[in-house]
Amino acid sequence: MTDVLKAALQVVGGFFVAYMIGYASFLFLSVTVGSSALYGAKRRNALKNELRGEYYVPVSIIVPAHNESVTIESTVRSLLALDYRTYEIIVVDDGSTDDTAQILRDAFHMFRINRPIQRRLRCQQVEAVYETRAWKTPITLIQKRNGGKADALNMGINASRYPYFLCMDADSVLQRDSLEKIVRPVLEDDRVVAVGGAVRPCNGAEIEDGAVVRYRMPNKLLPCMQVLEYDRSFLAARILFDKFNGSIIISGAFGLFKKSVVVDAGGYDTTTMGEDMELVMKLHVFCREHGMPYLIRYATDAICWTQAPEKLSDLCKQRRRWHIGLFQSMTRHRRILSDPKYGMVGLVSYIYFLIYELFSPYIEVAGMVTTALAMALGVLNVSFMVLYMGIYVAYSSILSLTAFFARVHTIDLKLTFSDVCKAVGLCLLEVSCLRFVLAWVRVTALGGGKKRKRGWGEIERKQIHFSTTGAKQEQPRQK
Amino acid sequence: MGSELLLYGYGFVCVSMLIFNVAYSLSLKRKDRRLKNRDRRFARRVDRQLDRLRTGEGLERGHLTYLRRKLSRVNHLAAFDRMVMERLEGAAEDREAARAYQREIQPVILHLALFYRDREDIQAAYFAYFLSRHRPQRHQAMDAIQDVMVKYMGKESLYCRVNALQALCGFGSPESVAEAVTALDRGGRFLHEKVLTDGLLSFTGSHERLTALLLERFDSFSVPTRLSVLNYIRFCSGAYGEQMMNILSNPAEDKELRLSAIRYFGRYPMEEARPLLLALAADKEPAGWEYASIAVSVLAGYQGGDVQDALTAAIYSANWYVRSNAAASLARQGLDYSDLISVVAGGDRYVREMMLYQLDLRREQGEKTAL
Repeated sequence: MTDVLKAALQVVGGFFVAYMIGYASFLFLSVTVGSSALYGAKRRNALKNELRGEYYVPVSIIVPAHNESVTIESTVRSLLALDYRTYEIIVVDDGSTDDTAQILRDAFHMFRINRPIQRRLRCQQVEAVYETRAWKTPITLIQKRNGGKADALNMGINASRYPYFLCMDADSVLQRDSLEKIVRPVLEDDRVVAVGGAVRPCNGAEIEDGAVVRYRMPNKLLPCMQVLEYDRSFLAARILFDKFNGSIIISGAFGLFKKSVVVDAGGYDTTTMGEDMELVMKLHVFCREHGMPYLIRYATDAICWTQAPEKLSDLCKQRRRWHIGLFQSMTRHRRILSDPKYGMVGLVSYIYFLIYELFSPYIEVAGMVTTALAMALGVLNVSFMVLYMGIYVAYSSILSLTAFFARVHTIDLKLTFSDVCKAVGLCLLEVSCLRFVLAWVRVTALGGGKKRKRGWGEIERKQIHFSTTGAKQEQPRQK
Repeated sequence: MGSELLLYGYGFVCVSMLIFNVAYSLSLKRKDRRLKNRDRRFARRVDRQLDRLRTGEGLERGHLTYLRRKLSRVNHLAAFDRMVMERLEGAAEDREAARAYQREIQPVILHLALFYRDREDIQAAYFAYFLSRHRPQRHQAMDAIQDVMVKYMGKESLYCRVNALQALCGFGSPESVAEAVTALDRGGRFLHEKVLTDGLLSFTGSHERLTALLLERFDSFSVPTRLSVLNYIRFCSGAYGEQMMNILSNPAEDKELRLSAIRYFGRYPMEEARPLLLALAADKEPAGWEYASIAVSVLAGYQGGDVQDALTAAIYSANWYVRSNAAASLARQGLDYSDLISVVAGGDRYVREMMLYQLDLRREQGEKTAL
């Protein structure tokens, strides 16, 4: 019996070594490619290899909101401060039970109007439409019955006037050049149907007049670790996927889409929690099925600042939602894996997300259980385990730091010595502790997913005070 | 044992990356200092030449050779650009000296234009940008540089083509720009029509002459280039109604070009276009909805009962965009609720809502303006 167990554990050990080699190789490749792309972009910008004109690509900015009374005003003010020639702002209030709509109406002097909306995408009923033309760009507020974020986005698309739309979260602010930069890939290549922007935690950043004037690592542990995690996992990996048109996710917090293609593909799926990822996968499927030449790009220099959760409970809620969304999107579009016409999207992106995103929490938790079992049976090779864990922690930490410093260097942010120490210390903590906590959260995520499939996810917001004199975080208000 | 070896291998990668990170951070710090020192030395040398020019002396012998050597490195060229621009934005006396200096170094610029033409695209693109900021005065004959810039239009890099186009537009020579557009079109490389239109609009010479040259070659251009040219003409001048009419009245012409021609008559209303616009607005064919939609929008700028009748008919179109644009145009015509009673009190709810929305919007905007 013990021999059988030993043999089984040997096989499991072999699997974990292969798993780690795969992950380590991907991480190395993505961070190296990501960092080199960032340095390359910096050089190109320094040598004015960029489109600098104010080109006329009108964009509708859609802000879906549900109980966002704390942040909605500053978000819209940040949008009014954008350096861009032609755009409109559409806020879709998805059945809020707080005073989100009232705050907007009062702050921007909006008037009620009976506006007909062409319903090309299915969504819940409109309850009221408010508009104002008193600002530099038209602002529309649509109050509708609660239907979830995807439903609110579909309503926004229906109401939008322009050929491109940008979706963003109501708790985020855009840098004043973000819209210009996210539109550039469209001007560079007319096959572009979607562009993802870079989403960064704003905890610790001081934003004035739509630009970062001071950057510090956040004071709290959790946001600080998320800063490092964002750079390693999101920034580097997305740049790598972008190299072969293989991005299968554009964050719902900041993405630009060609409206006609999204409408033809059916818009956002209202039955999934990961509507952002589902849409991008749907676009891959739609374009390839219809033989359309297309590109899905990632604009590293178009930046959206968002609030990273500061409480563990909020972070767990967020990651649970992400994991359910990932599961729903991947199962819905599983044919990408088996059909050769999806090329690198199926061969690399889908397999990566399947193994290292969807299955990884199960594999990691199984790894810990196996280690405990092996220890109980007295067959654990302790020195090998220590070496394995040591290398894993050191490797992941160093790559996190490489991605982090590449990002900091290439946008000319100055860090203090204490920030550097924080980054070094916390990246060790992140890969050795937080990662496993979040793995457990993701393992348990699918259990209660169906009950909450159209929920918005309640996360504590802090007001982002946006004005021409500065944007700082103020006292928290519970939603 | 094999597994351990692999782990040690990855451990080695860890250490290597750590060393790389530390070394790179240190080198960045040293590089900053080095660059500042280099820029200071460079600035002293240029300032000495500016002083000589202020006192009526010429440049030092050897200065042009020095510049040729130095500026053949793109980082030096960027530093030089910053330095000269600073002086051009400085006090009046500095500005004058800097302009004189720019004139004196033109032989170097021509040498550099040839030199960077054969460098990698990123450097060639930067040189084109540099040239757009340090171009010779328009009265100076610099045909040679412009010819070289036209060659830049054939480069692979989009930025190189855009920067070269901007430099050429800055020179103000219609012949060179028309040649560049032709080269671009023949090259078959993608340049968004908005980027080309915007580039042409930045042209500093005679738009009339440039338009004439572009129209001469119009039929030889591809559709995207023709579209850019038409859009450029629309933003530039109302004197090309006849050419636009020819495009609009030719059903075999590309759809986007005809739509651009319709927009032209929206910007510059012309009586000759009225019958054609009315006919397009009345077109009920589903395939022609884009023509109808833009035609009803453009008709807002035309007065008369025939236009109001056409718009009132179009508001009942089966197409949402045609209805919406027709309602907006009726509101822009200044008609009131009483003039539109048949529409706002009619039995078609969709039409009624659309019209009321436009009238309410106009009223609200009017009130805001009055306030």
